[in-house]
Amino acid sequence: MLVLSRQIGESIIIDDDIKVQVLQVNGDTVKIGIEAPRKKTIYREELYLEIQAENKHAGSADTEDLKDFSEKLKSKKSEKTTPAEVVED
Amino acid sequence: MSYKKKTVLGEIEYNDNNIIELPKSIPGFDDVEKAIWFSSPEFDPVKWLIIDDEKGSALPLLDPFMVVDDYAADIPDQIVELLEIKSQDEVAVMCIANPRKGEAPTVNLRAPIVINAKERKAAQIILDDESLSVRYEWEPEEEKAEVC
Repeated sequence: MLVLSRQIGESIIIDDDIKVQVLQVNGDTVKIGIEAPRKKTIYREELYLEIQAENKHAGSADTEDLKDFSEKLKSKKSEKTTPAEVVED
Repeated sequence: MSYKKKTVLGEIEYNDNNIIELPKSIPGFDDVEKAIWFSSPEFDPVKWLIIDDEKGSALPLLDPFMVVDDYAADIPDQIVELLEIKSQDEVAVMCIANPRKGEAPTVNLRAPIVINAKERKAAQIILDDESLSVRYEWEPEEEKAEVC
């Protein structure tokens, strides 16, 4: 890990096109400004990690509970239209 | 051409039409570039995105409108480009359901899977809307008694 010290208003440049600037420091909180091309996705780490953990759990979870869930959805949806198949078999 | 794969749901059979390309890996399944669209009557209306990893992880997907009345996913331009989306008609937005032992599954409304059905490409997006839950608990409405 690269560790740099920066003062308020100073920036770092990553990969020529990403600029990270320290805007404000207030006690434990640092306000950061990021300028990056639109195709770069930027998330708070905790949200990303939460979604990663959810995905992993969902991908290998016990499917028995899901059958019951499917049944409930099915009975609810019988009044409404069923979604079209996304990909044909 | 028909193929077989061992998955957490057991062995499944699929063909070329079921193969979904993942141009951007799904968080938690780094470097996996391929998935399989799978559906089975026993889980209907839940569908599956089988990840082409060693154990065949299976993500249960459902139409978010099955659990909420109002849902909007703004698909970022870079995802439109990445999935080669040309028209709204070819896009499906599905949410991952998360089965929980002894409890009702939760639904991830915050990070749906966007699928271009025509090009067979999919990606997971994270929506900016902080009111959308990663673990939305859905409870079926109580049966309403018919009023005569």
